[in-house]
Formats: sequence, structure tokens, C-alpha cells
Amino acid sequence: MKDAFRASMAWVHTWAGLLVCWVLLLIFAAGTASYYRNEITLWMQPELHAIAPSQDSQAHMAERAVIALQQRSPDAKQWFIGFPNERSQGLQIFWEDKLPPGVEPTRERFHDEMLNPDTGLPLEVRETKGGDFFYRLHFDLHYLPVTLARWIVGFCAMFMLVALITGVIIHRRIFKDFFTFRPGKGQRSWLDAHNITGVLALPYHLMITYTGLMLLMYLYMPTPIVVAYQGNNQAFFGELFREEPAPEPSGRPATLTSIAGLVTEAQRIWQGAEGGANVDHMHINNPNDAAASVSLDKAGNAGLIESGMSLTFDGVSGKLLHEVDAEQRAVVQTATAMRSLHEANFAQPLLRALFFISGLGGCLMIASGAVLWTVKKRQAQAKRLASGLPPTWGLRLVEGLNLGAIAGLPIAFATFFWANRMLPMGLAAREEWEIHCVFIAWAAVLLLAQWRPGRHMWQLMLWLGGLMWLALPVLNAMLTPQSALLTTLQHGPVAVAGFDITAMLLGAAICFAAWRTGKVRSQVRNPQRSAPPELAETEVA
Amino acid sequence: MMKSTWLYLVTFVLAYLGLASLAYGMERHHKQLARGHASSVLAALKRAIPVAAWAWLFAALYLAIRLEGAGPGSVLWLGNLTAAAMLLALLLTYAPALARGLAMLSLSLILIGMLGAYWV
Repeated sequence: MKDAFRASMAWVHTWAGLLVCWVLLLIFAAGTASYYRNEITLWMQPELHAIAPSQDSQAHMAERAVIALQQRSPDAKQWFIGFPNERSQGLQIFWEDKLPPGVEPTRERFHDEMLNPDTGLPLEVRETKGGDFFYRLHFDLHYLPVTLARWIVGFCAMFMLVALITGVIIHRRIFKDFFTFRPGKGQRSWLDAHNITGVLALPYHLMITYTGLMLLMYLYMPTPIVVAYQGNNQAFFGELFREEPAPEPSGRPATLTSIAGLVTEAQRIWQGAEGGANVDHMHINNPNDAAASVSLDKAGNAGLIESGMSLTFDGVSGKLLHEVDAEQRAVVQTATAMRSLHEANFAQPLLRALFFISGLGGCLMIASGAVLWTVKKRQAQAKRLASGLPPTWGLRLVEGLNLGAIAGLPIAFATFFWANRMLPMGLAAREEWEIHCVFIAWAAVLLLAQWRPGRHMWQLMLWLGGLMWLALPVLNAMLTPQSALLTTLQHGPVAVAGFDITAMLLGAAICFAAWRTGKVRSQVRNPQRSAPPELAETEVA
Repeated sequence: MMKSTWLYLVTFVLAYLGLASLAYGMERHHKQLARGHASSVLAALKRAIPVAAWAWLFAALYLAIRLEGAGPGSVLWLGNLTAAAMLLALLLTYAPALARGLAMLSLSLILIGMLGAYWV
């Protein structure tokens, strides 16, 4: 009975995992990279590396941002000012055009720019999506309508959750094999690798999959909002996050109150609050209109979750209209707790690194599981293969997809950074082209992999990917000498140096995998070193 | 600031020590970790060390919660356990002598630290 249950769970585990593993690997890898979203963006904007962190007050910065916004778009629908923090040193401004009635809104109406916080002058920065590419890729994929993509991602995440739970059920020696990895033993080694990366980071895997699904639950489970709010999502989120709906513009011009004064006022109100009194970002709705309003969000976390405290002022009189204080923020905090845990928003650098390591563990778990499937199938088809027949089409397809996804992903991601340094500065739609390069590179590897999914191709692609990562700091030093590792190690920014070092470590690890792939081949050729017969003993299926 | 960075590392050292102590009591890893112990004390140690392991692991949890508060602290603890376990597994596979050496070093550091904290 028990064994029958295990066997059926093993079946579920195998097929649930195999069906989604390639997309899941992409999602996991992109998500892991997103822990360093800001650091990646900084690396990809070498023009910002020489800027020292500003010592000026937030009120002065706000003043400069408002001057810049008044020049660019005095009659915008809304302005946004994002203040510098430990992870991003520029002063960010953002504005949304007011559209005439009846015009279909597109992404064209959003504009953003990075300012020098000390001067308010625009920073000449190359166009790039930076780390936001990975962040979006993680749940919106690319080239697909957003809603469809999120359903695909949710489908994969659900299968991941199923695979995790069934994986625990079918793993007979979860404690006995806790630390066990036996390399160079064919199928057993793959199973060990799959088990160890899965089990050792299991708390992370369960947390990240569960919270990931929860983040998009309003999309997957829309009926409660449909029933209780007649499908008015805006109203639901407004209540949930204690946001006052932005007032409609009156059409009557009015002078904007002193934004710098509001920043000072907010800092006075938040004096002594947990996580400091600084502003994280602010919105100015209907600037220069009689119905203007200004809302400020407090920076600094309270424990696991974001501060959730905010203030809204009348944009003309400067009167305080609405406050979400420490008491009321409990609702907001509860609503954002899952997100905070998922995105590690609360994590200081060391803890962030642990999230990153666990994420890499997840990538390895998915990759080794996918390879394990083909290794087992080859074992099952040993007779057929020995008689000179080709592998079945299913095995060949999966082998090709594995090669393309697993060896291709490092190449694709590295291409993003290569393109960032190599594409000409003035290229039209430069930031889009950086991304096109990623998918062109990946498609090329996927095609090559379907053409010749053999060990030779594995080796070739792994070497290529490994060397591309290893060479990134060299490329960086050659094309943007002011950001070279030796410079950034001495003068900062630390994040840029950290990126270069991480790239080299990843490159070295992939080169090691390429080297192992070559070594195993020479062992397999020697029949005495082939897999031992007692293999079936610990096999799960 | 500097002081608390140290304490984060202590959390990791405690996690490693705890997990290595657990491995000490496991059939597969006992020989790798117990080399150099006289056979008469082996039997007693094999029972005692895994029990002590839980003390180290709980000490790591306590320290993590003291550092970060209950929520982030328990996340920090689990993250440290994962990273320490990955390191231990790699060392047991490729360099068991180093795994043993690192465990001994961790134990000495923790004991010295405890003594130091007691005197100061």
C-alpha cells in the first residue's frame, strides 16, 4: 500500500517536473538574479559609477526634482520622485502624460529620467532596462501578453509546488542522505545532486513557490473581487492599501505648494518611527491644477515588512488630508507580507546573499532533475541503443530541450551584459535590442541543441557560457575603464565590484561543469567504469 | 555595526558546527569526521555529539532572532542552515579532512567566544 502510494507519487513528481522544468528554470534563474535587481541596473549604467552618494537633504533634492519636472511636463497626470537609497544613488523622476479623453492608454505615456541629486541635472546614462529585465522576465516572461504570461508562470509554479511535495514523499532517505553527494557514478550522482539541492534549500523552495503563487492570487482567483467589488479591482486595492483614489483634475490652474516643505513636514511627523523618518518616494497627482495632491511613502522597513506608512497632502494649500500611521499600516503590512518575504525586501546584504545562494540551489535542482530524466530513460533504452538504434523521439526531444535550456540560459543571460557594453550608445530602441540579443542567443543555442543534442554540444555550450561569464569583468575593464574591477574594489561602488566577482565565480563554476562533462565521457568509453548494477536499490521510481 | 557583522558570522559558524555534529552521528559520515579519535571514547562521542548538535542549532536560532527579530531572524537562521549544509555536503564529498578541520575550528572559536563572553 505504502509502496504503491510512493510509486504513484513518483509518477506525479516525474511528469509534473518534466512538463514545466524548462520554463521553470528560466523563472527561477530570472528570480534569483532579481535579488540583485538594483545592483545589476547599476552595473549596466557605468556612467553612474563615479557619482558619490549625496549628503544633501531630501527637501533640497525634492526641490531640484520639481524644477526638472516643471520643465519637462508641467501638465502631467502625475509626477513621481524616487529618492536615492543605499542601493541606488540617482534621483529618479518619472511622469505620466495626461491623455485626451478617448485615447487608448499605451506604455508610451510613461517617461523616466535619472538626475544627479546634488545638481538636479540629468545624468547621461545609456538606455537599458538593467535588472528590471530579470524582474519582469520572472513573472511577465517576454514577447507575450502580460496576463497570458502570468497564467503560464502560475501554472508552472503550481506544478513546482506539486513536485516539491511529492518529492518529499518519494524521497526515502531524506535524513540518511542529507549530506550525501557521490560524484562520478552516473545516474546515482544525478539523483544525489537533485536530492541535495532540493532538500538542503527546501524551506526556501517551499516558501518561494507558495508566496509566488500568493502574489498573483488576485489574478488566479478573481471571483471574490468580482462578487464583493463588482469586479472593480481599483476599488479593492485602494481599500487594501489604504490609498485615497487620485482626484480628477479640475482644469483650473493653481500654484503648487512647496514640495520641499512637505518633505520636511513628513520627516517631522515620522520623527522617531521605526526605520527612520526618510521619504522613500512621492507622487504628485495633477500638478499645477487646483485638484493637486501629494502623497509621500516612508522609507525603512519594520521587521519583515515594508513600513507601509504614508501621508497625503493637498497639493495647493499643503494641508494634511490623509495619514496611514503605525496603527493603520497593519492592514498594508499584512497585505504586503508575502511580497516582502518573496522579494527579500527586508533583507540586509548578508541575508540577501543567502536568498541568492538558495535560488541558485533551486536552479541546480531543476536542471539536475531534468537531466536525471534523460539519464534514466537512456538506461531504460540501453538495449535499443546498444543495438545501434537511435533513441526514441521523446528522449531525443527532451535531451535537446535540456541542453538548450540548461546550457543555453547562462549564454543568454551573459549576452544581455555583453550587449549592454557593446551596443552603440545612440542605437534606436537600444534597451529593447539588449533584450532581443538575449533571445537571439538563446534561440540559436536551442536550435543547435535540437540539431545535435550530444555530449559534444553540451561541452561546447558550457565552455562558451562559462567563458562569456568569466570574460565579463575583462570586457567591463576594456570598454568602461572607469568601472574596472581594480578601480571599483578601491573606490566603489561595492555593488559593481560584487557583480564582477560574482560573474567570475559563476563563469568558473560553469567551466568546471564543462570540464567534468568532458571527463565523464572518457570514463563512459571505458566499459569497466560504467554505472554499478546496484543502482536500482535507491531508485525512486 | 562592526560588532553585529561579526555576530552574523557567528550564526553561520554555529549552524555549520551543529550540522557537522549531526553528521558525526550518521553512519555514512561518522568515519569521515571521527578520524583521530581514540576508539574508547568513540562510542560515547557518537552518542553525545549529535545531542550537542541541537544545542548549537538552537543557539544559532537564538542569536539570529536576537540580531534580526523573530520574523527575519528565523528566515536568517534557515538561510544559514541551507548555506552551511551545502558547504558541509561539498566538503564531505571532496575534502572530508577539511570538513573535520572546519568543525574543530568552529568548536574552538565558539568555546573561546563563550569563555571570553563569560570573563568580560
